[in-house]
Amino acid sequence: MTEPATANPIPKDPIPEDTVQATLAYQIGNDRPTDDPMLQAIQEEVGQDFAPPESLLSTNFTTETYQENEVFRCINLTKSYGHGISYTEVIKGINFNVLEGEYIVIYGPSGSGKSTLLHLLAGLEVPTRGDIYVRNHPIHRLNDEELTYYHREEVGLVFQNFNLLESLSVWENVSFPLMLAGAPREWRQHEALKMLERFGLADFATHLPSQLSGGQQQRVALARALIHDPEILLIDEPTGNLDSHSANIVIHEIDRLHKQEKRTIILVTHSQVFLPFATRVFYIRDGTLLTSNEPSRLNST
Amino acid sequence: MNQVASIRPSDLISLAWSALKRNRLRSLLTVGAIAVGIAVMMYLISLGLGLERLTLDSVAQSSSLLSITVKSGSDQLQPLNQDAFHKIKAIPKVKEVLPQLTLKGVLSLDNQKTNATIVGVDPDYLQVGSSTPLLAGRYFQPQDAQTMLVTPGFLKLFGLDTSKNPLVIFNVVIQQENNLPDISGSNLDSISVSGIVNASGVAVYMPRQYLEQILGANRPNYDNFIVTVGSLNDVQPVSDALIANGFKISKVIDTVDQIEKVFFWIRAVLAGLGGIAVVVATIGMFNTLTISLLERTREIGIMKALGVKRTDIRRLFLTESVLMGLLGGGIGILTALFAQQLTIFVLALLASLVQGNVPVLFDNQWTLIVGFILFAILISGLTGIFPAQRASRINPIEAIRYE
Ligand SMILES: Nc1ncnc2c1ncn2[C@@H]1O[C@H](COP(=O)(O)OP(=O)(O)O)[C@@H](O)[C@H]1O
Ligand SMILES: [Mg+2]
Repeated sequence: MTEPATANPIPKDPIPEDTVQATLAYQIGNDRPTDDPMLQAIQEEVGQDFAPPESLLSTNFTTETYQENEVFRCINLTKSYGHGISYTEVIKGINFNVLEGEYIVIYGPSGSGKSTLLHLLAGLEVPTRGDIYVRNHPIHRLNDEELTYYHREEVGLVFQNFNLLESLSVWENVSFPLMLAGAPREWRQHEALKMLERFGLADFATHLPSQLSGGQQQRVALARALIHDPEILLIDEPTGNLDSHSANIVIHEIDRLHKQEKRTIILVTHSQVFLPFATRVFYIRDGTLLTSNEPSRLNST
Repeated sequence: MNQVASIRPSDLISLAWSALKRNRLRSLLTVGAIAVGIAVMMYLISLGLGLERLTLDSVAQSSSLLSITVKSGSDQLQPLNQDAFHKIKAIPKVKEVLPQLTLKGVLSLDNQKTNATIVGVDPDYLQVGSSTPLLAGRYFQPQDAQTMLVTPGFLKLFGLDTSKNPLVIFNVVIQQENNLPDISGSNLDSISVSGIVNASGVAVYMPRQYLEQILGANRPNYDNFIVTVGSLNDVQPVSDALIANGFKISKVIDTVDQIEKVFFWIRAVLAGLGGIAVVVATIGMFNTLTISLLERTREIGIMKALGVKRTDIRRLFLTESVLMGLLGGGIGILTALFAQQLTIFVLALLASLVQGNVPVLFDNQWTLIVGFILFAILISGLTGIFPAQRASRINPIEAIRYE
């Protein structure tokens, strides 16, 4: 165990989001000065009613053509649910691209379509209209085999609710993606233990997920997303259900994945704590994206 | 992009096993239902087969299947006399014609006396034609004279041991019968017992030629002929020829056919009862798999999102159901075997009270056991197809988003 037994028992009522954010932003977020104009601009916007000024409303953050170092490109991406009276447009024709090594934080209130957008990027949802490319391959037109390949080889997914497989042990969960490729069990176990070691969870390898705290489960989920060494990480609300200590570890680990391992990260969240680490922040509201900075300006890594 | 690999079968089994273990109670209920179904079916079918075999064993020894009995009777067109004997002998493919002479007589030993049927036959009649096994002593030879075989019922009347040759000598008087030539007073002195045969009633069997010699011209018509043929294929043509010649016949093979027919239906009814149990079990399993599917949509969604192929999801569900089927089948077979032993034990206990013995009631051919295992696999596989198909179609996102 890396955590002292007395530290940070999971509180019954989670610490209010605001206090956690405030503390953490200054604890860890010293990579970016807090007087960063972009951060301030967004924090202002987030304020009470989430209403961005007209000047920030833009839906075009991309070029229409493929560039060498481009990972994702979305063009007029639209997702709607239902028909007739129940018709709702959750993603409203957004355009953006993501370049290699970027750490994109998509920041917005609950219900703004963040998870939907992430699922579209993960190829788990099919767009209603528009195009979505990964390395210039149209994700929405991949067949079952190609999509499977994308999930297994290129992208690591961390879901909003950990989404561990309850019937499998921790190490089996972590090495699950390796099993799909037909890797032998001993090797999988070895790899999983290495990964768990890194997240300070080696002692829990044979536990079931239900025997772990939320923070530990989130780290297991992160370990699972990394086991096949994907270039791209798609992460949904990684600190949503965590106490501040666990959140701290997770925030830090994700930052390391970006800075040291040069992975391309897209993280969606309604929490401000991630903003200081991002190379770019997209603000999302009612399915519309806005940002205040160009990739070139902020891509400091 | 290249073909993506599939999950290894060993991993598939261990995944399926974890899933079954996780829903232990439900898995146990399903496996139990299959086990009960298979056990009931196996118990009943092996009982049916066992009873049939017992019945057939008592009716037909393999040699008696090759014999046809020509019977006498008032409606018989042909009297069973020497003419008839030669006529039958001349039919192609007939191997032997074994006549039986039936007389009434009084047999006495010291001052004890009894009426008995005196049957004049050739030794082959007993050994080959009618499969009458020897209990003690030996058969007589065709040329033997003052010797006879007796039934246990006959010996009991004289208070003699029925398990060994009594080595006694009887005095025999052949008696007159209605509408037969007068043979009263034919007195045969000192007939010794050569053995005991397993036949019912109070009867003695004597060499036919000896009796005919004693009776001379007074010899009555034969009671019946046993006609033997060389192979099963000859039974039908010879039977047809006999009927064409005006003889009345019966064949053991007909009886066997009838027994088989009856037992086919008995087996079918028993299998039907077992089948109902299996159907109930199958519905239970289908239900379980479907419920399990609904409960596990989330898990399936996660698996898909992590890159499990549709076909692998299908394979996983099929593996789970076949695993349950195999377990249920195996436990069911063991249960049936146990129940059989229990039945035999209880019957043996009851039988020991009345000094009887219990026949082998159940017929567990290994083909039956293998058949049931295959059946369990087949049923569970078929039951799993639909839920597996549904599982593979689950939209991962809906599964992940909503709990
Ligand atoms: N399958 C669906 N059918 C109908 N509405 C949906 C579906 N999935 C998501 N939504 C709606 O889309 C909106 C955005 O959801 P989501 O992407 O989960 O938001 P966020 O992750 O930002 O909280 C919500 O209003 C939600 O109710
Ligand atoms: Mg969400």
